[in-house]
Amino acid sequence: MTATQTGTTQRSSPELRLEQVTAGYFANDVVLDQVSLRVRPGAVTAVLGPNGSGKSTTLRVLSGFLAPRSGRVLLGEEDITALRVGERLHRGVSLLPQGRSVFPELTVLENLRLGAWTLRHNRAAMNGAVEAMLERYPSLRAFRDKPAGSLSGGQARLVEFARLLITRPAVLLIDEPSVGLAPVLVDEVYDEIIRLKQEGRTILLVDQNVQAAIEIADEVYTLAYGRNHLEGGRDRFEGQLDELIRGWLSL
Amino acid sequence: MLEQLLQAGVNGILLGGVYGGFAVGLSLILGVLRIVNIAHSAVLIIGALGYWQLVNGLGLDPLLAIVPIVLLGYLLGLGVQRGVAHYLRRESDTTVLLAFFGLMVVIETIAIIVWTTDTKTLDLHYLGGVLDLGFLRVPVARVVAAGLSFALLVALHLFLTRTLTGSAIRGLSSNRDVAEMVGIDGNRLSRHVFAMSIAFSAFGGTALALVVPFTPQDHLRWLAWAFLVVILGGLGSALRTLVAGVVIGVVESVVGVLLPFQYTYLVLYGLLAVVLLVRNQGLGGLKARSL
Repeated sequence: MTATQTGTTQRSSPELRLEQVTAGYFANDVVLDQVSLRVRPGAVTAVLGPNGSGKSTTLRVLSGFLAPRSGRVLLGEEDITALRVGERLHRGVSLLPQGRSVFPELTVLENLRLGAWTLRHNRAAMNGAVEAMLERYPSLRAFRDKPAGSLSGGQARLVEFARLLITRPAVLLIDEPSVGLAPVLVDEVYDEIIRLKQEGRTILLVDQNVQAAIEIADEVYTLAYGRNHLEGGRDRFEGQLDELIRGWLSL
Repeated sequence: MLEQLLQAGVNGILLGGVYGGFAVGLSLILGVLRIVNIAHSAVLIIGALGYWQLVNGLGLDPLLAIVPIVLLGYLLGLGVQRGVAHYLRRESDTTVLLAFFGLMVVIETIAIIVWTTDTKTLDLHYLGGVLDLGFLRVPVARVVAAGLSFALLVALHLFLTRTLTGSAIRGLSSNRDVAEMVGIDGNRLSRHVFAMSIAFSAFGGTALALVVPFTPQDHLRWLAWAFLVVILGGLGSALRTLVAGVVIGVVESVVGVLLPFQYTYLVLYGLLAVVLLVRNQGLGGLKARSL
């Protein structure tokens, strides 16, 4: 167990792996073709690629929204391929989806309590988890009784981060964190991801913002046409961004 | 004239409570599960007929007999969800509408085979009296039906807004993917919301039976009435459904006093058109899109 800045603890983190995963949405389409990747404990792993390369589908398979046609999803030694979203959350795999994902009609507090839905049979633990998130993001306290739909983009993002962390997940899956945000808020979002990294959390970051992602990442995978393309440590990609992006444009 | 209007106003409020009670099931299914349950009124009628059977046939107490009808409604809802609605969750709206239309025809046909098309009047027992308040005369059964509707709708409102499960239902209504992402079992919760809606509809049938005579075939009229309440009130909110029911009940009763009865529908649908034009999403405005 690792102590975080707020005094809360997160679960010890096993490795999350995709092994030779093939997946698609309709009978004959192949969005992911034999994709493999490792999300190392305590590190930030970035998955990059041009539009349509299969980044978001990778996250859908990892989080349990899409069942792969073949291949396996492993959390530590456990095969979680057949587990549904909620069951993966129980095992500590939590997703921050792309775009706005708060429940707009519900208050901030209701959003946080639903984020802690898996703790519902232990109300003391649930209330403690909500309180810990209000301590971590003190600015939310003033809005706790307001409908989440009335918050600004930045405040709503904080609610989403709080909801992501409220169950103390072992692995964080983050999908395109800056999409749809005002440029002034984008830096704040990456600052928060850096804070999560400094806390030693295990993060898989799927991003179109290549520069920002590579700056944060310890390891990088790129996808092209739904297949593994390049992989390696951050140093392998730093200084080669232009080349990488040019390569995608010519794909 | 003033006394007449007052009497009509009170009658309208009571009738409106009943309207709210028999429309909320439709509102809940539409608001949370996005299903246009065209079989809603057939469930009302089955509820009314079952209730009539228990009270007139078996001689059960008319208040106690509501309980088994609501419970049976819940079980029927679980069955229909598993047997029909569950398989339609990825189908187009048109397919779902057609399937529920088919269900309506099946339920109506069964009702006619079992209970014939004779008009049924509930044996009200001790609820058969009239409360005489001097200038106001109110049938007891109507007060009971409206009172139960009010109580149930307020309880539903409190359940949806004050409990964690209520928040989960509103979350499911707002964004099913995100609801599942936080660990809510969408299928399981949908099943219970569906069953709860059918139980409310079965209750609506009992409230209706307490207030008016009925036949298995006149449920389509009640379907139009239920849709009127739901459209006026907006989706999925118990309190707004209640308010819309009362508005419709009062308008119907008061217009009945002021104008020949054939104008009632004209005024009601005119009111509906105005509300939709001005408020866009019913009485609750745009926010009424979901719970």
